[in-house]
Amino acid sequence: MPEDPVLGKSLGKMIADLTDLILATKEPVKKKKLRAQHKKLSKKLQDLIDKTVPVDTVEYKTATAAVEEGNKAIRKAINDTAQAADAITKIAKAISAIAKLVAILAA
Amino acid sequence: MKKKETPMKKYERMFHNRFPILAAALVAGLVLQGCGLTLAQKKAVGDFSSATAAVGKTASSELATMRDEVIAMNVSRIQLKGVEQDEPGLDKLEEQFTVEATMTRQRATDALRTYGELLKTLAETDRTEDIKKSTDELLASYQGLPDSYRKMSKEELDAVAKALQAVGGFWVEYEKAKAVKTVVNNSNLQIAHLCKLLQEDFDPGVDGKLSSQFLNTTERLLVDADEVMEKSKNFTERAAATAALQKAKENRLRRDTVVKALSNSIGTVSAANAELVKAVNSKEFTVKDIEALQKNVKILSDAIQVLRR
Repeated sequence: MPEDPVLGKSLGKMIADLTDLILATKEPVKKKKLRAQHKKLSKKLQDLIDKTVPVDTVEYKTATAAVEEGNKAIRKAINDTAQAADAITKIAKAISAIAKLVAILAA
Repeated sequence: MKKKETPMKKYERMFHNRFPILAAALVAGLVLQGCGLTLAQKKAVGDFSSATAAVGKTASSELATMRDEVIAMNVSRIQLKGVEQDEPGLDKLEEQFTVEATMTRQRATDALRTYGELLKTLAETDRTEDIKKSTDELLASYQGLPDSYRKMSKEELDAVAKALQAVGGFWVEYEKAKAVKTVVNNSNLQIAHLCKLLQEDFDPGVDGKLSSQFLNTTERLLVDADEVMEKSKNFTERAAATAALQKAKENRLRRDTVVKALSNSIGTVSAANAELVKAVNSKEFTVKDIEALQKNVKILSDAIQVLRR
């Protein structure tokens, strides 16, 4: 039985894979967008480090699922940079979902 | 008239009178010597202890390296791009690898190392001064653990200290076996707890632990260095960006090899320790996890050698 996705693992993977996608992308506009998303994700991961993340919340599960979707899109885009636009959309959804989780921690 | 006893006769008479006492002491000694660990048990203790001491020592040194590298990568990033919004500045170069956070983890790795070293000493030497030195180090490291890392009760710690103080003299094998059992049995939960916390810290797959910081700092530098490289207009900028890219890529490799192998090794220490508990308490036991630990330590050692080249 596959293990349940863990946000830390998925988010770490997303940031590392997004780095690879940025290095592989040549188109300047997409590259700029991806760099901006990398910064946002990096900030979100930073907000989660050394914190007790509430794993039983809807926000955690939604964020983890969104990051998983984003990771699939990034993997596709690394192999075919023409798919970068779809990756950008999915990453944006993931950032939004993680922001909601971080908001719980800050509350 | 009573005949005067010759010295030889006197000696013989004394010997015969005391023979039962001497014989009983000899038999007791032989029996107690026989109550030491079997060769297989000694091998299990020796194999486990060497590997565990190596894991503790490597984890301590790797923590210090990760902290140094996080600081160095942040310095590189600031040199390349200055301090940007939401990114750590010169006052936060170490990010989550603060002195306090690093020292807390190092106390835990020290406890793991001294546990391994004491068992190794008990398995390999009869020198009471060596045993005393290893004992003092283990007790000090256990006592130095922060509350969140402590699982051992005062009674368990006292029992360990008492068993170790008794080692020495004629009954050394018997007392050593007794000490090994007491140390292993009473440390079981403590070692499992330390391994869980440390394994998580070295596993980037666990939410929000120290290795996530290492990952984040590395990836941030890679992206920033790539951007500077792309926009650079002169040799100096390109040289700085290239050096930063190289540093970040080396740390990526460190994360994917050494840090990963370390997390796996720490996880195996916990399983091997549970196996060791059975090994010291029964003459029938398996060494599957102890052998897995040795294999993981070899992988860890190889990974470190590759990065040093």
